[in-house]
Amino acid sequence: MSDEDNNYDDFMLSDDEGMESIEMEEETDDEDKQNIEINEDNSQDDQDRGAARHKQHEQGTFEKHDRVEDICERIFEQGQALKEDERYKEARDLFLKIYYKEEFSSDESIERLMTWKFKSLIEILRLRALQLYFQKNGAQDLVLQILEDTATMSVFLQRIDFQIDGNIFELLSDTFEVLAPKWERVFLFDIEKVDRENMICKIDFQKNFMDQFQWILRKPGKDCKLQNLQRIIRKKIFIAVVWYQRLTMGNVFTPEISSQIEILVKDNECSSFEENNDLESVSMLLQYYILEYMNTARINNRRLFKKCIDFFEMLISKSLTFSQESGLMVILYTSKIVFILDSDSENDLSFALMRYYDRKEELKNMFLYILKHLEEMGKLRERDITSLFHKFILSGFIFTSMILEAISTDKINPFGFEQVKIALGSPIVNVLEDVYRCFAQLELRQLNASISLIPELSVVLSGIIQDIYYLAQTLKLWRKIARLYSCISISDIISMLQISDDNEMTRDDLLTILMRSIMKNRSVVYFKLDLTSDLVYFGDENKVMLPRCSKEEFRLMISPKDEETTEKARLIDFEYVNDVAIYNNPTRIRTKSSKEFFNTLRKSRETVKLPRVSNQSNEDTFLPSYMKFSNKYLELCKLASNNLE
Amino acid sequence: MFHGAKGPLLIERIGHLLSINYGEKEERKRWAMQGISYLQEVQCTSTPYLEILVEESGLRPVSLLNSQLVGKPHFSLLGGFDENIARDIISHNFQNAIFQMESEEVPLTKRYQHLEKITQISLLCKNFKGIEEIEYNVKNIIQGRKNFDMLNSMEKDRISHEVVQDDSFSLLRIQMLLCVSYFLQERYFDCCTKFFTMMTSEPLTLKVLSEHLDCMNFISKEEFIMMVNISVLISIPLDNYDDFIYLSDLKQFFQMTPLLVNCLELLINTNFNKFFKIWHGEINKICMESLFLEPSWSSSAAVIMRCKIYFFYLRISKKLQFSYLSSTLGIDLEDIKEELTKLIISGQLNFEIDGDVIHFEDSSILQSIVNEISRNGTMINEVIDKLKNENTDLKDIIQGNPLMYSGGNNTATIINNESSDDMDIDEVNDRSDISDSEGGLFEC
Repeated sequence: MSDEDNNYDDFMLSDDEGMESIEMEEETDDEDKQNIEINEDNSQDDQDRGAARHKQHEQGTFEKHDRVEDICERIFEQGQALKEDERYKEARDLFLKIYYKEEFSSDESIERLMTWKFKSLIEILRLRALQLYFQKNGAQDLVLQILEDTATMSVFLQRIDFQIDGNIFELLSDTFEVLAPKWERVFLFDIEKVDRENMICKIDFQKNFMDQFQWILRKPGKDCKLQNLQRIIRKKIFIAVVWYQRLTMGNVFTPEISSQIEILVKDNECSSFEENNDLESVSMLLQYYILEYMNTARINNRRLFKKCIDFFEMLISKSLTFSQESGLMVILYTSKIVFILDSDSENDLSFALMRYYDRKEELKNMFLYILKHLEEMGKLRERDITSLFHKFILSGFIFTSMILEAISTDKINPFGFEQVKIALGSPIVNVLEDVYRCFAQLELRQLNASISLIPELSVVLSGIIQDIYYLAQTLKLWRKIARLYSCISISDIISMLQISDDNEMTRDDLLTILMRSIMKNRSVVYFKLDLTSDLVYFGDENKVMLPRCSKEEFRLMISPKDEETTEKARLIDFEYVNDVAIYNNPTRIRTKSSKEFFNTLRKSRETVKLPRVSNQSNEDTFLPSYMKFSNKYLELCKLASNNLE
Repeated sequence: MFHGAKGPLLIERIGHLLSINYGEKEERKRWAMQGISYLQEVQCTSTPYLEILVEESGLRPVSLLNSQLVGKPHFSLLGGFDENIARDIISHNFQNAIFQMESEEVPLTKRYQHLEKITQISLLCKNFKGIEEIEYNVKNIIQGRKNFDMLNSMEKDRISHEVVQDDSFSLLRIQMLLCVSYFLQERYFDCCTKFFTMMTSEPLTLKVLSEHLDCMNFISKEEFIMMVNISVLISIPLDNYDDFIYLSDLKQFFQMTPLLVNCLELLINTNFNKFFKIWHGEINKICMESLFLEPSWSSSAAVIMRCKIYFFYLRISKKLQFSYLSSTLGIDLEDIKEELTKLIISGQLNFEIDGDVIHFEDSSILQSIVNEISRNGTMINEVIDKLKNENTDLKDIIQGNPLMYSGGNNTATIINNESSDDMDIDEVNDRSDISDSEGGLFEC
């Protein structure tokens, strides 16, 4: 029935089109008659008979030849003026006059006339684009009218087969881009609040519009402008298909789309990525990847994803207009976030070289940028957030803020930001407030229970959530447990640090936290392990010196033979001691400069000063040089014992 | 396997692999055949490796002798050296080779390439003192070139760009050979420090390392990078890996060697087991196959890294088991026992070993002295006790004497008794005080 109805509408439209054509032809005839009359009047005004007769002859010939072109140009200019004044109907009527001009037999004039006709049709499509842009209601009727005009253009192009001079392909490409619907304010990955009916109308329009020109795709030719036009048509049709499927079926990860989506972006070694691609194609592919991540928390083609991000960012940074587009900025920042989150599961070299907290800071800032742009777009008005994407961005911002705040002296409440306040009272924000409070108070089981209330985010934010758990456990260990107990069993600590019954902390997990903390100099309280009884001793009294002899006296070899060998052995021993770091006082070296880093290390290696041990009473008075006399003391004691015996 | 080795270095590489019994029997035979074939071509059989080459190849000495060729060897077989010098190197007459090299007249445009060759020979014979002199000279050369560049820009234009670049590349390669020298001396900190100093002060360093080191046909790019990687892992303390990996001016080097970044990450996250799989697997294989890496690797590098991790566990432990370390680190139990025991003894660490258990023994620097003094104190106390007993006996004897005198003159007897008593009391008191004082000192 639906198809039958459509067919009936098409039949009716066709009839209307025919009627309009007839009417326009009548008008054209009238116009021609009036023009002739005007010319006759002009002729009669001339008083000089003889000269008038000769002049009239010449003038008649010249005017007859130029008449068509001049008339077209004047009408065209009038049409453009009306278009500028937004008097679209009158403008269109004038352009149609040109289009319906009778065609003469002269080849030369025919071509010029066809050029004017083409230009007129182009102008009609462009004014239709303007109408569409400013149309608020009743777009359906307008869309149908536009499709009539695009059909007219298609028929015309097929008739002339592009056999006119000029930049016909470029004009068509530009016009198609201008006329096609705009997607900047809607995202493939965020359709919960989309006006579905309106969107489908736009999609239908784009598809029907481009279908009228599908025949161009079969036209052979190596003209790069033609190929560009073909690419645009192919792109527009495909984008319409993707959106239609997204809005009607929800899922775009079907063989039909998946096998073609990356064709949107041409990526080959022969020519530059920048020369082959445009913003819309890359934007669509990025949105597809983001949607892929939101569904599966994985990006299959990271290499191309990264390339698209870099290209997209370059285009935006080059253009002031683009950088003002909140929609584009949301896509850019979300893509970057997704790339980072996805990389946490990869062995990506560039990420290994970025400090953990610098990366979290970068993430947090990008989440905030997105919130701000969504606010500008008016997408943060609802008090009940249902969009998974909005939940993702909001949670990402809160979670990264929590992580950074845990190690920072600055306490900035992330819920104080305007973009978060807007959503206060929304269930998701209530959950996030609980998470925030449980984390601040290091209530581990409650923290897990709160995060479990938003299971849809546990996949896309799993890396960050695991970081939160790890950090919470570490903080609880050092800020609570370590300060309360001087000796405690590993199993007791584990039970205190348990997150949930489903996520058992193992003995190795705890040992890892302990070892990483001391490795990164983050252990607030000094500790020692009894790995045979599984006990941990907390307290600075456990900070003791391990070696008994001085650094200079360390000997790997037992029996040095001669002077040279002894000297060499001494050097090797010294290197060994420094490499194993037996006498090293562990301390971080905070610098970006390798020169400073290695100079600090060299000083540490060269010094023979013993590490500071807090529990030694003679700490300040005992000097390494005294070690030299220890053997003397020993000898004296032995002498005494000999005498006593 | 041989990293494009040509000339005398080929024999060194083959000889090294055979000397350490590396590879399967058939492989070794093939290498030996290749070596002998080379020796025949250069008409020199006085290499120290001859015996092992013959043995591994299965050839009979008679065959070897009968195959002597006539005529000069092709220059491509000499590794860029003069014929006689090449033979000296093969024969390990390094001093003679260096002498000849230093005696040659060399055009100015080739002087640094020449010095490069001399440095190579010095490395082969482990003449580290000679290399120190070269290092000193290179520093002066570099400083001189900088001055030259500043003062004589006009004259500089006359020198061809290629010569200038060749010189720069040669000087950089020489400095890399100096890093190799440090590695061979097991001075790992100096090795990587020198390289990173080069990297940050000489912009062309990484370019030479990437594109112009292998063509030296001496040490390969892979070997050199591994050398730096090992030096970094050994000489930088565990606690500073997390600082080192973020040094911004070394980022380009990190991009060149993902292996190092991977190892650092594993160590930073205390994934020691996974790290040692790489250390004893991939890295060990590369090192054992390398003439330049294997000596230091087998001598100290491999074990130092393990000792670093052992010491980390000692640092955080009151008590732990060898068997725990073995299973946790993935290292053979007997190896751990041997190496860790040696570490504890060598460093006189405050740990006692009791079977499988290592436990911290809290003692101070002067513990051994205190023990001895304590023993002395015991002996002194024993002596004092003995003296006290003697004093008591003497006191008893003196007290017994007045009874004998009491039978005579009463007045005299009374006086004598009092006098004796007083003396006894004083003496006893004095000795008692001394005894108490001594006892208190040592018994406390």
